[in-house]
Amino acid sequence: MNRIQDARILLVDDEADLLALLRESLSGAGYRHLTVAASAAEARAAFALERPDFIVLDINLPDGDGFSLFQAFREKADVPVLFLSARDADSDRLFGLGLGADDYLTKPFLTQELLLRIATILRRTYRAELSRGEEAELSIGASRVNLSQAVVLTPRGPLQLTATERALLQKLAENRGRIVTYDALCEAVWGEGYYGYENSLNVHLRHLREKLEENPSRPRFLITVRGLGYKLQKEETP
Amino acid sequence: MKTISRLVRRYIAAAFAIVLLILLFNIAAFLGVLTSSYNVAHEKSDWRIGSFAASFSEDEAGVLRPEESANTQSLLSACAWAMLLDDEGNVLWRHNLPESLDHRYTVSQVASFSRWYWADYPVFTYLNDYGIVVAGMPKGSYVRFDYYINATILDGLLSALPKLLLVDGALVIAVCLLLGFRASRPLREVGRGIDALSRGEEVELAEHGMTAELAGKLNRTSALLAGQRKAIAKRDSARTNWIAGVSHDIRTPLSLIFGHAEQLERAASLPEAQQKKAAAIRVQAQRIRMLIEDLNLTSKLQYDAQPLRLEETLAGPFLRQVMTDFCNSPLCERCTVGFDMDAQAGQTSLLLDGALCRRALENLLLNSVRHNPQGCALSVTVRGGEALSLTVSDDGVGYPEKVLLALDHPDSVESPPHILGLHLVRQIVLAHGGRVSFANGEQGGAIALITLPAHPRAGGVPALPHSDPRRPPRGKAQARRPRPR
Repeated sequence: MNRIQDARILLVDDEADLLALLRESLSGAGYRHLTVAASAAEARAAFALERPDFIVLDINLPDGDGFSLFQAFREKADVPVLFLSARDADSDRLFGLGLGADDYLTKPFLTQELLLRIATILRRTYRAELSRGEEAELSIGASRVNLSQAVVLTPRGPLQLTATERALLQKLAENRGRIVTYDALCEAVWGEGYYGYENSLNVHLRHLREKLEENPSRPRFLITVRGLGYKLQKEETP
Repeated sequence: MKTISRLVRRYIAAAFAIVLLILLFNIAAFLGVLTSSYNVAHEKSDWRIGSFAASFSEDEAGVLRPEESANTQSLLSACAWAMLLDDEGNVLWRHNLPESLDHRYTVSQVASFSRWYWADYPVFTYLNDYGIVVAGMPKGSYVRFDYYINATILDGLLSALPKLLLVDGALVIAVCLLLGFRASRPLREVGRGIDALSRGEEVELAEHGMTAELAGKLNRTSALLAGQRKAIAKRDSARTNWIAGVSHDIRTPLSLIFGHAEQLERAASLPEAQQKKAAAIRVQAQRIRMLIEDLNLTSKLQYDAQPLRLEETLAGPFLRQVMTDFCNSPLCERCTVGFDMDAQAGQTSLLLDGALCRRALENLLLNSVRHNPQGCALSVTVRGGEALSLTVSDDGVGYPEKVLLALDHPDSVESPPHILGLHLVRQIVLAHGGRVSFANGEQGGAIALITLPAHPRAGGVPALPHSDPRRPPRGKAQARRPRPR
C-alpha cells in the first residue's frame, strides 16, 4: 500500500441506500477498492475473498450482529474495524470498543468525519507500509519538508529536524488545517504521562518555526491558537 | 431508630421520677400534716408540764401552790384535773380532782398511771422537789402508746434503713427498666420499619402485641408505596424505551439525508444557490440529530436510566480537546472563538462523565452558533479555585426573556419555549453536583456560567506545570487525561 487510498475497504450495512452513499463518498475521496455487503453472510464471504485492509461494520444486521462478526474477523486477521451504527447507548459503544474495534461512530454522521476517521486509522495502522511507499513530503510556503528523512529544504538550504521536531510536524501534518491541542502534541512526542512538558513543547515549536517560517515572529503556517494548541495551515501537498 | 431509644429512655426516667416524686410527696405530706396538726394542737395547748411542776412553791401560809403564770393557766385550763403527790402518795395539791381520784396513791398505782392512762384519763407526770405532779387530760384528747424496743433491734433497724432505701431505689429502677425494655422491643421493630420506609425499602413487620395495629398500617403503607414505585418505574422505562426506539429508527434515514446533503454541497457541477440549499439541509439535519440526542439523553437522565460514568479527569486537557473539536468543526465557520483558562483551572481535577460534559459544553456553543446565523464572537473562560468556573458567552442576540424565565422558574411560564438543549445542560451540570446560571450580558449577548466541584487529586501529581523547559519532570499523571485526537 503506497497511499491510504490504495486500501481495500469492506462496507457492511443492511441499508442499501446507505451503502451506496458510503461507496460514493469513499470513491469521491479516492478510494478505489470498495466492497459492499448487506448481511453477515455476505460480509463473511467478502472477507474471505477480498481480505480487506479496513472494514466499516454496522451492528444491526438481518442475519446476525456486528459484534459477533467482528470477533469472527479478528480471529482470522487483525484488520482495523470502525463500527458504524444507530445504536448510541454507552453500553454498545463501550462493548464495541472493548472488543477491540478501532473506532465507533454513531448514525447520523458527517461523511467528512467518517472519511477523516478512516484516514486516521489507516495511517496509524499501516504507518510503516505507507512510509516505505511514499516519500512523505510537505509543502510549507517556500520550503519542502521530507518527514521520513527529517529534513527541511528551505531557500537558505537544507535544515535537519530533530526527532522531536519531526514528531511534532508529523502530528500537525496529519491534522493539517485543524487545531491540535498542546496535550495531543505532547503525547505524540513524549507519550502518555507527559505532564509538565508544556514549556518544552513551546520551545520545540519555536525552533520548528525558525526552520519553517520566513518570519518566525509572524508565522504564516505554524499558527498558535491561544489557549488550545497549534495549527499547520493548509496547503496542497505535492 | 434513635427516636425509639430516646423514647424508651425517657419513659424509664419518667417512671423513676414519678416513683421518686410520689415518695417525696408522701414524705412531705406526712411532715406537713404532722406540722399542721402540731400547730393546731399547740394553739390549743401550749403548756409545759415541766415548767408547771417547777413553778410549785410554798406561800407565806406554807401552802403549796403553782406559780400564777400563763403556763399554769394554760395547763390548768387544758387539763381535766391535776394533783401533786408526795413520795408517800399523799395528795399535796389538787385542781378539779374528782372524788374518786382524790385518795392516797400506792407505788403500783403511780407506776400504772405514769405510763399512760388513769381512769381513762390520759395522764402526764413530772417530778419536782415536792413529789410528782400529775395532770389528767380530758378523756380522748390524747392517745398514749407504750413504746419500747431492744437497743440491738433499734441499731439494726437504723443501720438497715439506708440499705433498705437503696434497695428500694434499685428495685424501682429495675422494674422501670424491665417494663421499658419490654415496651421498647416492639417499638424498635416499628422504628426499624419506619426507617426502612423512609429509605424506600419494603417492609414486612410482625403484627402482634401492643404494636400490632401500628405494624399492620406500616405494612399496608409499604405495599402501597412499593406498588406505586413499580408502576412509576414501568412507566418511566416504557417512556425511555420509546424515545430510544424512535431515536434509533430515525438515525439511519438521517444519515442518508446528511450524506446526500454533504455531497450536493460539495458538488462543483451544481450552481452555488443549490449548493447553499444543500448546506442548509445539512445544517438542519445536524440540528435534528442534536435534538434527537438531546431528547434521548434528557429522557435517560430524568428517569435515571443513564448511569453516570464518572472518572477523575484533568480539566485542562479535557476542555482544550472539546474546544478544539468545536473549532475544527464546520459549525464554527462563522464564529470566532476565544479560549482563556488559567493555570490553576488547567490543573483542576474533576470527577466527570466526559461524554455528558462534552455534550453540555457543545450544546452551549451550538446554541450561540444557531441563534446568531450571521456569526458571533464566542468566548470561553475557565477559572480555578475551590471549584471550577466556566463561562460561555457570546456577543450575539442573547437569551430571550421567556427563555431565561423558563430556565429559572419553569412553573411560572404557561407555554414554555422549547429549550431542550439548555435544559439538558442544566441536567448534566446538576448531575455532576454543579450549578449553572443563564443571563444576558450588560452589553448584550448570552452568558452561561457553570460551576463544577473540584475533586481531590490523587497523590503524586504536582500542582503546577514545571517551568524549566530543559528539565521537565518525569512521572505519570494520576488523573485520567482524555486521549487527545
